[in-house]
Formats: sequence, C-alpha cells, structure tokens
Amino acid sequence: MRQALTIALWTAIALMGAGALASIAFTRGEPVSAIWFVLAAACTYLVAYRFYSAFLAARVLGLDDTRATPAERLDDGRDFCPTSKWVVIGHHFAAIAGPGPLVGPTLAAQFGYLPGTLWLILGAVLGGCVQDFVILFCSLRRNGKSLGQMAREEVSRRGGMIAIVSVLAIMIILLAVVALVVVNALKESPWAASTLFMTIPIAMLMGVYMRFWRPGRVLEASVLGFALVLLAVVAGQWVADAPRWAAVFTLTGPALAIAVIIYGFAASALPVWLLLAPRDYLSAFIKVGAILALAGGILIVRPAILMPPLTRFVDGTGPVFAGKIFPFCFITIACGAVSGFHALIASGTTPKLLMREGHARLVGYGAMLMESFVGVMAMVAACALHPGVYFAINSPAGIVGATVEKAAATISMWGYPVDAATLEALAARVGERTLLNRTGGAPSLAVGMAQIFSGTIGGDRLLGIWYHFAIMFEALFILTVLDAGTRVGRFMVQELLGHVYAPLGRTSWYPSVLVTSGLIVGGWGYFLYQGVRDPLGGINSLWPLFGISNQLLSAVALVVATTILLKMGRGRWAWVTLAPMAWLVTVTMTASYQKIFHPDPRIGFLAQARVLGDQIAGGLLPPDKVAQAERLIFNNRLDAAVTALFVVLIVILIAEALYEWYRIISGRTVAALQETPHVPTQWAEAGR
Amino acid sequence: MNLRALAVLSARAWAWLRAVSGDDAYEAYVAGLAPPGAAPTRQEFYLDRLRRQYSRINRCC
Repeated sequence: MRQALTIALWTAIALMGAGALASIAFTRGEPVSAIWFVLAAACTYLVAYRFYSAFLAARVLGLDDTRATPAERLDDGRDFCPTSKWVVIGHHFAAIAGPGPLVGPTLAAQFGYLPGTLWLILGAVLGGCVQDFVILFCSLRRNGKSLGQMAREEVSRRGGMIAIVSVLAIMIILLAVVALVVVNALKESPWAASTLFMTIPIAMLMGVYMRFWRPGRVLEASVLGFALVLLAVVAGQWVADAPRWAAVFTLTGPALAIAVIIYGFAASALPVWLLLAPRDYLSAFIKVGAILALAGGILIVRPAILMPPLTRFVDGTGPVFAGKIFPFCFITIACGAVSGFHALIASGTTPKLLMREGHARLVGYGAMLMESFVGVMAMVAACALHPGVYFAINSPAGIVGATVEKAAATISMWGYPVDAATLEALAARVGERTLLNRTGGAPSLAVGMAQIFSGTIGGDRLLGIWYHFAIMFEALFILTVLDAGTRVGRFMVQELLGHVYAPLGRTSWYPSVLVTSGLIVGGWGYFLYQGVRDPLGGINSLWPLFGISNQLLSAVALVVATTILLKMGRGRWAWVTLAPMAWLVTVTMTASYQKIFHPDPRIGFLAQARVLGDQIAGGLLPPDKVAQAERLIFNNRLDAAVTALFVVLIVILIAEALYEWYRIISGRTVAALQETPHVPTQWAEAGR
Repeated sequence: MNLRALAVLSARAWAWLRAVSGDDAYEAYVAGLAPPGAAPTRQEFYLDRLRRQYSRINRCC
C-alpha cells in the first residue's frame, strides 16, 4: 500500500513538472505566470534528485557509508573537520553561488525566456549537478585532493598543467568581467556608488570588531554590518539628493574602473581580517537573504512573464551580445547550468568536511540544484520586465543610441514597443537619472528584483530603495569574488614564481605580496579597462570569453571524472559524464571558432579588427578616433589569442584523455586508481 | 506546534546558523581538542582560520 502511494506521489510530481514545462514551452501570444517556472523547476529537481542522483550514488559511484571519510581519518579540527551535512551544504552553496547564475540568465533573456530556462533546468540536472557530485566523490576518495592534482595523477602530467593554466586564465577573465558588471551598475549613479563606497568602512569596522573587540564573533559583527548597510542604502538617497555630494559620487566608467582596480589591489595586499573576510561574511548573509526574499517575492507577487518565449534575436543579431542561440546561449549561461569553477570548490574545502560518503549526494548534487533555481529566479526577474525596457537597459549606446528618444525608436522598430516617457519615468521611480545603456545585466536584474520586492513590501513608494538594495547586493558580493579571487590568484602566482626565485614564493614577504598582487590586478584590470572603453559595452566580448573559459574548465573536470570512472571499472556508466562533456566540448569549440573567425565583426574578434584596420587605412576615421581604433584592434587580436589558447588547451587535454581511455579499455595498461585504501568508519555504530 | 517544539526548532536553527557562519568554530575546536589546555586563544584561532580559508579558492563565480 505504502509503495503504491509512493509511486502515485512521484508520478504526480513528474506529471506536474511535465505539465509546467509544457505550459512555459508552448504558450504563445499571452504572458505566462512565473509560478509555472517555479513549478517546472521544482518538480524536475525533485524527480532528478530522487531518481537520477540515487542512481549515480548507488550504481555509478557506489558510495560506501562504511568507509571512513578524510574528515574522520585526518580530523585536525581545522582543515579536516567532520561536519553535519546540513552545515556542509550551507557552506558549499554559499561558496558556489556567485554573480554568475544571476547575470548569465539575465543576459541570455535576449533570446526569450525559453532557451535559457530549459538550459538552466536540464543542463543542471544532467550536467552541472553530475559534475559537482562526481568530482566531490573523486576528491573524497583522494583525501580532498584538488582538481589539478587529480588531473595530473589520473589523466597525465599535462592534464594537471592544463587544469592549473585554465584556473589562472578563467580567474583573470572572471574577475575582469564581474568588475565590469559592477562598473556598469554604478556609473553615473551617485546613490549606488556612494552606497557601495560606504560598505568599505562598514566592512573594516566589522573587521576590527572581530579581530580585537570580540574575536571570531561572526554573527554579532554580521548583524551590526547588515544594519549599517541598510542605513547606507537609505543614506545613498540623501547623497544623491545633495548636489555637492552627488557630484563627488557621479563617476564615469573609466574613473570607476580605476577605483575598482585600486580597491582590488588593496584588498589583496591588506591583512585578510581587515577587509576581505568581513566583507565576505557580510555579502554571504545578504546574498542568502536576498535570494530567499526573491524566491518568496516571486511566490507572493507571481509576476507575469512579459518577454516572449523566443525573440527575433535567436538569429544572432541581438543587441545585448551578438551570436546565434547555439552556441551562445549555452556559453552565456554557465553558472546555474554547468560551471567548471564548481569543480574547484568540490575538490577544495567541501570534501574535507563530509562525515559520510553518502552525504556527497546531498551536498554535490543538491547544492547545484539550488544554484540552478537561483538562475531560474534571475530569468523570471529579467523576463518580468517589459521587453522594451529590458533591451533599453541592456543594449549599448553604439547599437540603440545614447538618447531615450533614439533608443525607444530603435527598440520599438524591433517589435518591442516602448516610449521615451516610459523609460524616463522608470528611471525617476528607481531614483536614477537614466537606465539607458546600463549593460552588464546587473541594473536590469535590479529593476526586476525591485519590482518583485516592492510588489511584496512598500509598493511603488519603495521602488527606489529596493532597486538600490538590489544593486548593492549584487555589487557587494561581486566585490567579494573580486577580493577573494585576486588574493587566491596572488597565491597561485607566488607559488609559480617561487620556483624561479624562492623569496617570491613566501606569502608573507611584502615585496612579493605587492609584486604578485600587482600582476594579478594588472591582468584583470587590463581587460576591465578595455571593456569599459569598448563602444559595444565590453560585455559583448568579455562575457563569452568568460563562458568559454568556464566551460573549458568543466570539460577538464568531466574528462577527469570519466577517466576515474573507467579506471574504477564502471565504463558502462561512463556516459553520465561523457555525454555532458561531449556537449560542452562541442559548445566550447563552436563558440571559440565563431569568436575568432566569424565574418560578422560583432561576433568575430578578427573580423572586427579587420574592419577597424580598413577604416584607418581608408582614412574613414577622424584623427582623434584613430588611436582608439588602433587600441581596439590590439584588444580584439588579444581576445582572439586568448580564445585560441583555450582551444589548444582543450584539444591537448582531450587527446591525452582519449589515449589514456584507449589504453585502459584495450587492456594495454593496468588501470592504476589513486584512491586511498578503504578504512572502516568508526562511526557506523554510533550512528553519526 | 507547541512551545516546546518551537523552542527545540529555534535552538536547532540557531545552532545551524552558528555552525554555517563559523561563529561556533572556536568552541567546536576546543571541545574536540586533546589534551585540554593546549588550545590557542580565540583571537589566535580566528586569525589562523581566516589565513587558511582565504589562501585557497573558496568563492565561485
């Protein structure tokens, strides 16, 4: 009887999910309620977790709860620390959920809501969750080794080197692109800029509190910091309303870029307790709180989705970024569907905390489902905007024009009617001078979130406060990624340079700290500045680069996972990692080829360099624009070279892996698995 | 839900929040440390924890 009820329950959930998916896929000509998105995602996640992750755990990986985990065997109370699975999933989710699942879906909404939503849901359950879960398991069986170490030991030495180079490359590009998102969100906005500026002394005050006054009292300091940040959001409006102060905080893109570069250098070089750690605590709390509030808001407000399922821009002519739905939708949304960067977290702190192998299923697969849901909510927030408003905010001036009249006319001509008065009124309601050409995804997401929040609390009266709260929330945790990424990048460069000159490898030697911080900040700072000066908005070139590098890292992780499955004698189940890997390689290679060689100058880096070169040679540019064009030519060639580097890396890695797989399958080599030996757990009896 | 159940639930939620945020890390470390008396001060432990936490990739995109 009980079994029959269980079957009936899961059949009902599956049917409800299928119905919701069909509703969002096949409705035409009328707005769809956001509730269908929530239902489609939640039911798919439930079914995938209950059945597919159980299959992965039992049949593919053979999780063994009688085996002692590294946290049990190597428990030192610091790095290796047995922790409840509900606490580990909290840590893991806070670590993997960054700005990517918010910004990527917002940008991909230019294709319409359907492609991005389907990719977020299906990509996660069949790709991203599998990657995170399998890599977590592999690291768990290897004393918490990193992805690079596993690639070196299980695939080849070159595989390990490729993983390390990929991590550094992705980090530089990632930091540049997230910094660009912040700059575009804050430029010409005294309210937003002053609010974010005030978070720096707030974080430092928290740092002093936790360092000297109440050491390690994270919750007390976070509550204090949160209250002050809310005050800063309100005070930002006073700044914007005071002409003298508003002038101080009304900053151009290049000025903000320089400020962010200086900030990144300081955060990397200053003691970690002073700025980085307190900001991280603060942003983690606000991040989780804002995401929960957004989920609650969507359920209460149930906004109508005004964006059509597919827009005319599936043909590759989109104003937000150029390129057809394949491969660019799948490059634009990385985090939220499949993100290679997660493999670094899954082979970092998390495996050192798990008390049982069985917990890897909840933490690895489950946390990624939660991130996918964050992506779906971002898609809902972006698509609840009127399409005309969405395109006005996210399109660069070079495409829609720099005045509201021109932009409204251009966007209306595309079939998404909007008028100048609507755009001006919306900007005034959120307390901004203009929302036009605010590329990068953050401002349009903030408008979408503010509409949902104000529909729950405060109504139109609080729209401005909610908008700036959302901007502050996005900018705060983007800056946290910037701080932490720059610092880790610094350590990686120090480790490399330490082989050349030993003192440079000492993380506490200040000259080395300054030099290596400068190198990392200089790397992402260059791409950031290039993006800010790019007439197409920068996101057009940088976000695809970021997506390609992130998916490359995912391909590395899935190659490692497949190799380990083959060595474990689970070749018949290798398709679970092989299929998403094949998809990602196809997407990455196609996108890379198009970004380098596509004849459309908005897509192909070399084509754009060629067009600019022809304009200079033909004397078509005024003398004051020639220097800018020459710089753009150099930048486009540099972007093409970086993309080509990614392609070379993935081709080498796949060739190495295919050779290794051939040797294993044909029996030419003994599959030497680098697992730690089985040690029985001492906790089984205690029921821990 | 009676008051007792609510109190138990609240205590669990508070314990979870402290554990996730690292607020209870020092107490947990001292409780598990042997032999007793060898523990660092709360401030030393906090600084060492931060140093370890931020010398590896701990935040994603």
